[in-house]
Amino acid sequence: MSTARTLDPITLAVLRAGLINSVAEMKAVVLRTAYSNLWKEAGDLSCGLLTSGAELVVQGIGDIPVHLASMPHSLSGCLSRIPPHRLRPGDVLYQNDPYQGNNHLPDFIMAKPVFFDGRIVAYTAVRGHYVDVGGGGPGSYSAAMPDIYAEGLRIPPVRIYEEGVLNQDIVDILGCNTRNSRERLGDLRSQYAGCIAAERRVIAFCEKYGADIVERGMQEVLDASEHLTRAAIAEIPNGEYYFEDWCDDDAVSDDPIKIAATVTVRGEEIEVDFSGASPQVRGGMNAPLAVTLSATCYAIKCLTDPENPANTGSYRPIRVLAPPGSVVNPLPPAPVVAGNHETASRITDVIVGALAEALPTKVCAAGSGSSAVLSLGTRIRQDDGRDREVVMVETHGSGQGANVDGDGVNARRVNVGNTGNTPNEALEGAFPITVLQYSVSTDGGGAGRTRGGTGITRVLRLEHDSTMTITAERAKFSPYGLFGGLAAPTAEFWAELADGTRQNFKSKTAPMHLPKGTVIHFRAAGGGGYGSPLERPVDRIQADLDDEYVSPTAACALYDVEVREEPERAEGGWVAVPRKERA
Amino acid sequence: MRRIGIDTGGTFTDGVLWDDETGVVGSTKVSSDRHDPSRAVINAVGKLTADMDVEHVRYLVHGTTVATNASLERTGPRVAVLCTVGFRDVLEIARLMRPPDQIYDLRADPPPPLVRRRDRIEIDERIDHTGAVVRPLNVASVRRAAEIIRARGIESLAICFLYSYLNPDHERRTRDILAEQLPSVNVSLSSDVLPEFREYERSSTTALNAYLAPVVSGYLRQLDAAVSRWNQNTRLWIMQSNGGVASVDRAAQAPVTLLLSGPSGGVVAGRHLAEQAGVRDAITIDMGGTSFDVCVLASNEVRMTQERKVLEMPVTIPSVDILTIGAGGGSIGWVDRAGQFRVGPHSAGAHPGPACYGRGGEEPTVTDANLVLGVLGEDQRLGGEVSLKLSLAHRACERLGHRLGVRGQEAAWGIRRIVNAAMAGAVHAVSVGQGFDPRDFTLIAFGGAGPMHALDIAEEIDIPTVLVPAVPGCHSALGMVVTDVTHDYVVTHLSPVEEGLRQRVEQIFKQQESTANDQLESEEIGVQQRQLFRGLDMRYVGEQSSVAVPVTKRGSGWLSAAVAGFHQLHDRLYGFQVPDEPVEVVNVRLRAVGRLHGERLATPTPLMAEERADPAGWRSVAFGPSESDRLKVPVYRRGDLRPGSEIEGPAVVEQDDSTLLVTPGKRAGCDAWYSLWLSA
Repeated sequence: MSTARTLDPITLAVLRAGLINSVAEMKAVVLRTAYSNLWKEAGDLSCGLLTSGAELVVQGIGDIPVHLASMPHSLSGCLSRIPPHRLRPGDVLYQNDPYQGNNHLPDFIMAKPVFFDGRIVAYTAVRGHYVDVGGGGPGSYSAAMPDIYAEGLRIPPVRIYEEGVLNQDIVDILGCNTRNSRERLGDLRSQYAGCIAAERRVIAFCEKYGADIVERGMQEVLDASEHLTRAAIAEIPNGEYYFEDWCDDDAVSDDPIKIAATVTVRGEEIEVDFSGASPQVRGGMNAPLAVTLSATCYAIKCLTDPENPANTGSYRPIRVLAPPGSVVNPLPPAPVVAGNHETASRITDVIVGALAEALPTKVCAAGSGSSAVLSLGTRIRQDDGRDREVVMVETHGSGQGANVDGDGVNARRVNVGNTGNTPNEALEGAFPITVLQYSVSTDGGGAGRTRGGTGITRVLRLEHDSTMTITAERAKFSPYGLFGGLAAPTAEFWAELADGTRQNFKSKTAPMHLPKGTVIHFRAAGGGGYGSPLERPVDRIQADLDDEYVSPTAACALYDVEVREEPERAEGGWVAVPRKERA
Repeated sequence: MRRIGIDTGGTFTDGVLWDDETGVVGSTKVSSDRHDPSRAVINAVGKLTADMDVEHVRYLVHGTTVATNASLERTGPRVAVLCTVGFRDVLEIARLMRPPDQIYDLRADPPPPLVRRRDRIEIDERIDHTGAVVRPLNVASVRRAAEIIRARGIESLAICFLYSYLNPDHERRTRDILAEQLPSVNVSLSSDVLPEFREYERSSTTALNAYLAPVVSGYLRQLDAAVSRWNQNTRLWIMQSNGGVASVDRAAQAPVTLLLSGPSGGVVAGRHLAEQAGVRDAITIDMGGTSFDVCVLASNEVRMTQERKVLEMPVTIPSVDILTIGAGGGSIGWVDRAGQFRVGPHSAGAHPGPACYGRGGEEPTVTDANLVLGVLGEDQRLGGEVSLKLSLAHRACERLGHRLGVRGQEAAWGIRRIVNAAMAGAVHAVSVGQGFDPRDFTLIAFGGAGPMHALDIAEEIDIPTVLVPAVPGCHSALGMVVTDVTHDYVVTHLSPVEEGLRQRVEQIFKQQESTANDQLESEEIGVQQRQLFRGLDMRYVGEQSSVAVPVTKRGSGWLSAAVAGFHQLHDRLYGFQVPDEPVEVVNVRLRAVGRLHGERLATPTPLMAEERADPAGWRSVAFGPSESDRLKVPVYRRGDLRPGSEIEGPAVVEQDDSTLLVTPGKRAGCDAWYSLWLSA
């Protein structure tokens, strides 16, 4: 395909808007037809339009960043198994294999080649998180599984539709190996509906403008992003920047996992070398290559071109070196389920940390750095005498790091994940718990000239004997601060048993049984501070005291103030007074 | 009997005078008054009724932007929220997710929570998910909160306790205690404003209500007094987001129901127009200065949604399902850092406005492009007031063209094409994106700029026919005179369809009906004029989103009929149904309508045979990027087009409040109600 001649700016603008709309429509179709709550409420899916060369041109609005690089990689994985010349109109590709370009087993990609005039001009693709893919427990979501086989069903690149006909054999295998299989079939059907919707639009554009123009338009959208990214990289001082950070452990052993990156900026290009990262680990904390690429590219996009819609043109100037057999590029059959958001989050932290010195006004300190997932399971006896299994899976990780201008946002998801919470009024009706507290944590953010956003605390009482699994991070290694800002306090997970004793948990547990009446305290980490706390203006400290984001004790200990009590004061009983003035 | 509709907008305040016998008998536009919108309302009323006896004006229906502006600009007062112990941060934690435009923003600086943390005060009480009290209301904790509120001088507050939709007792008792201690403070209860489950959405809606109440009630009382001074016999009604009107008292209590007060008028007017013309399926588009609103009227029904946000805060009361994008006459054409040609979403607004207004605007807007291309004429005055300077529009487009390497006219042509593509995309999203085929629909185009772009949008997505109302620039005001009093009631009652549910829900319907009848009674709506519509939100057990199912059948079989209706609706909306899957009820709904008038359709004017209109003039209009794409085009005055008139494109039709472009190959015909029909 020739890209020598460029399109006139008006046609390009119209075509670009049309392509963006077609993916928006695709996402609307998927959301409308999906059965699964995880897609409809928590938004755990993404849609994409890719070139015939598997570059992602348009991603759906609000799509999860970790799906970004995994979309083209999963498609490339399909195409290396089933090359384009063997594809026929009506064929649809499908897979979930983290060792062939995918991110983890629960996410399935479906991709449909768009044929026009007898050739493939594009692919439309929908990726979604299947609530269950079999394996060791309901929800297929424990980091303590020994290998990928135990994590669930793995489907290599296949044709789920052949010339328009559904391959029932594969559907039957899927149905036999997953829990609540009816929902899986609904998800599959809605993925197909999404692919078809966008395909129709692309074909309509080809009819209107010609396939060459459409293909050239897609290339130019990618070129424009590449251009913006190169221009932004060129402004970063050349040099080698190194940073390292740690994940707590891999759920199997207590050993910390090192994530280290050397970021080399040379002219308009960036190379990220993960040679210092730990070897692959036994538990599910390994990040498949597609995840490592997504997390890396996410960090660099944040620092170079945060405004424009994401596509892989931005990633052309980025080169990633991830040693095979390491935790950032594991070899089979290593388990990978939590690498997708826990290890991925640390990869982003490390790259932002490395470039902080070069881009002090663009970075922020580390955020909560984890999805902090609490899973509970129990059985409820129904009226008909049969037991019904109920599962609760809740995300808690939130709290943004501080930046040069402002405090980090409290209670907000960060990095590559963006799934939301469930209302307490829905949780308690669906699962036998009582939520006693759901609040932003006092003293949860790192102190600094600007303060890290604080994380959240949930305290809940089990009303039934239940099985609990924690998949979280930052209980040993706290989210870092920058330029003199302090790290955020570490996460804490513990239980108050019915007899009053306290049991502390690590940030990752295997499924464990807890009796009715146990009170679980789940305090996820917040974000780090930026700049010296001694420089924080007193009025900001005072506001934090009045709003109880910071306790009087912490204000005294961390900032350059004394705190005195004034019980009659309307805005709050504690007043911060600069130390120097008193002296 | 006559009625007046007045719609306040950012730039103009529009008015329509309606006569029950003959329909629209007058319309007007006056400049809005940002500081005191009621002055412009009374001003418009005066202009509309200048030469008539005002005795017969029974109703004045008003669409207001006061609530919308106060929420967008955060000009409301400091408010407090009382919440259940342990849950003071519901408003701040929200749903944890970042909005789509901030996912890559490491320095995001979102609007702070509407209520500061110190003003979110915990009350010692707890009700569980069955509605049972597990911790009785601690009166001392309420009294302590009252002291804090008094000391801080806070005038308005919201009470948002967990599960108050199941058991409002604690919220009500708290209100009563506060009434003794703080008699002048305005109180909004979440169990009144939105008795629905999901504590964040309920608290957010209630807190916004408390935030708006002082501002909106002050404005409405002032306007009400001004209307009474003008004419004692005229009753003021306020347009709500749900497309119906409410009394001043009711609107002042529930200002959060007024956020789409104006735009919902446009949709209701669109439905009226479709009904009058015998059109079953329509899409309304309203293009003004800064935004483009689109709404689907399938089977002539106004679709409702509860998924709206204001400054990232959900407001989950029922409102007309309008999709808004940032495309209007003021949208700016620009070149991004990668050299790509863009239009909007930034708008020059009313000030400084498009370059051609000569008020200091430098950037080329859609209005400038239309002027350069000749769609607008230099001698036109927008809204009868604003004059246009072609040379300034030209210069702005030339500057943009220079950056793109094209001439000014090509840049102007580009702005038009790009903004048309964006609007067509929005129409596509609400039609095809929701499972409708646009080829079965009629596009109803209004707003000052809508008719200039309607045919291009229709062509882009294969809509065969466009309908333009008689007074497109005052169309939303028309909606206000043809609608009725409408109140929506909802209560969450989460339960599987099982033995005994029918009786429980029946009980809730009866309570809702009694509340609704009291409300309509207080609004002096006679029993004969009342209509009550029951509905249930239902879903398959395990689903999160629910489907609104009308309950039309009475008698013992109504619930099973509703379940059957649910399966069918689910199939239509989502493409599948699972007849053996258990179904549950989520919300119980009642819509109460008070008819303000009987026959709403005006008498048609007989069509003249072979009526031919003469153009008032000619001008050169560009239908392409270059000079050779210019055609000499007749310009008609809208007043010269009478029922039966037909004109052929290319042509321009001008009127004070709007301009219509008939593209080459299209025809326009005037029907018996002075609407124009456009088609190939």
